[in-house]
Amino acid sequence: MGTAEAALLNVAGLHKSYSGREVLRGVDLQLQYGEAVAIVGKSGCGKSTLLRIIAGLEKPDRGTVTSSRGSEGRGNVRVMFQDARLLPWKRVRDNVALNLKPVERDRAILALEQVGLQNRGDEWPSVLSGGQKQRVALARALASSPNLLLLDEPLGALDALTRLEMQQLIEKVWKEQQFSMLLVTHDAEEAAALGDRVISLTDGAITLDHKIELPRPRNRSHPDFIRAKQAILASLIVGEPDPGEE
Amino acid sequence: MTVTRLGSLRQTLFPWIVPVAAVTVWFAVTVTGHVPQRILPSPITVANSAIALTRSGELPRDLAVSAARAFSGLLIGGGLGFTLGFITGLSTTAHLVFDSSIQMFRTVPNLALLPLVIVWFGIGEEARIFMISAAVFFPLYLNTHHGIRSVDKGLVEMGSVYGLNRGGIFTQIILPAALPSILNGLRLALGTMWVTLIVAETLAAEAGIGTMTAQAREFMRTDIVLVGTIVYALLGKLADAIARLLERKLLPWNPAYSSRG
Repeated sequence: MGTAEAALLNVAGLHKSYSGREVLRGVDLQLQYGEAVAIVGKSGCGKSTLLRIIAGLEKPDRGTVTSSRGSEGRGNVRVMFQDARLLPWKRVRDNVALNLKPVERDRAILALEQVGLQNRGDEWPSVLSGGQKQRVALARALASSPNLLLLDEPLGALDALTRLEMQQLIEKVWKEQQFSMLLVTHDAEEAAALGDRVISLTDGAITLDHKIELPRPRNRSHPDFIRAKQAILASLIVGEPDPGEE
Repeated sequence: MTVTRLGSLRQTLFPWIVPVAAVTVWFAVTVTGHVPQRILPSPITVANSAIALTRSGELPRDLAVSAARAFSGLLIGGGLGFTLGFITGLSTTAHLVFDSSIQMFRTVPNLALLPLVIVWFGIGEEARIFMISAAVFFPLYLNTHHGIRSVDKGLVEMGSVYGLNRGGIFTQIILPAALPSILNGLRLALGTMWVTLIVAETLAAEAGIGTMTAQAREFMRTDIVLVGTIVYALLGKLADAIARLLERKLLPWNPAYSSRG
């Protein structure tokens, strides 16, 4: 594991509570250049809050988020949300080109090609399926060549087959563009398939930081993969909130 | 193919069934002499009166006066409602300061202001424009306000993550998101605009369609009264058509406007 200076992202001592309820209690996390980290946890464990603080959408009560670029951890960060959040009044291509300069517009076309939707650029988002909308959202994130992509359960609402395709697509573009990524998910298999490292968050604290060193793309029926998945699941179950606490 | 062509034929023809039937019945009962001309002149008499009024220049002049009146009221009241709706939609402070008062005045029927308006402005042009402005203010205010308030927060959040500044978020997210509601407000405003115009013009004016009909009533010229009434109906229909056209031109992305006319 690299030092704090070499890391792209350095999260230290993050605390956050909502109306008295502690959602994050001292989370430390480092993300290296090009690294893919999956954060798993049950709903309400604070994983989405962690991601939103890193994205700059919320402020922590205590703790810091810094990037190697020195700013507030927002060098060139893009987020994929659980819902695609496309602008219905912009055509697909214009959605992907959101906030790109006119000279950079061909990057939107390239990004649409990357996600296999180059023929749908002229459509309105309303005619696309849920999976296609998320692909457009992925293309929109890629078009600005981020160095950090934050994914907040972006595949949660998709059917099993589409989800599998999207996981493969995300892995493909991650390899191509070599950005770092932080994936929040509740699916142990998704975490094991995509993460270089899997972090388990229980009740606002990290209970597992597990490195997965399996060749990609990962064979999901391989015993090592299944073992890794089991370890993640076990951490979620063992880490039941302790009633004695408080 | 045949099915769709038949469908579009239905779409263009069916809305005409009621007007054509109404004119036919009107024609039938008047030509046969069942209804005296003084009560209900025949469509031909009314058409002739319309032609005569147009030739004499009376109808075009009254129409121009009415239209100018209606649209200056729409511009003043609508512009004000639109602007205030925007401000209270965007700023929580402005919402707290203005909204409850505006909501209170909204419940006052527009025509109940008439005595007050006469005291303030007499029965001059200002009074009529004030009445129309007051009438169109509320639908535009309410719908603009509501449109801005109900913008999907997730989209605004996405915009800020993707680096849009405040101006970009406003022009690319908030304004287009609120546009359907604003246009709906405009349509409602056009509706109340005509109603108020008619009342305002019937109340002593020198010119305008309302004045024309009010004077015709005194001379028992039912044919001219009917011309005025039909002109009002046509103006209302025209305003509605313009609003619909705006909706289709400005909201091509909205599935509600893409297919049906």
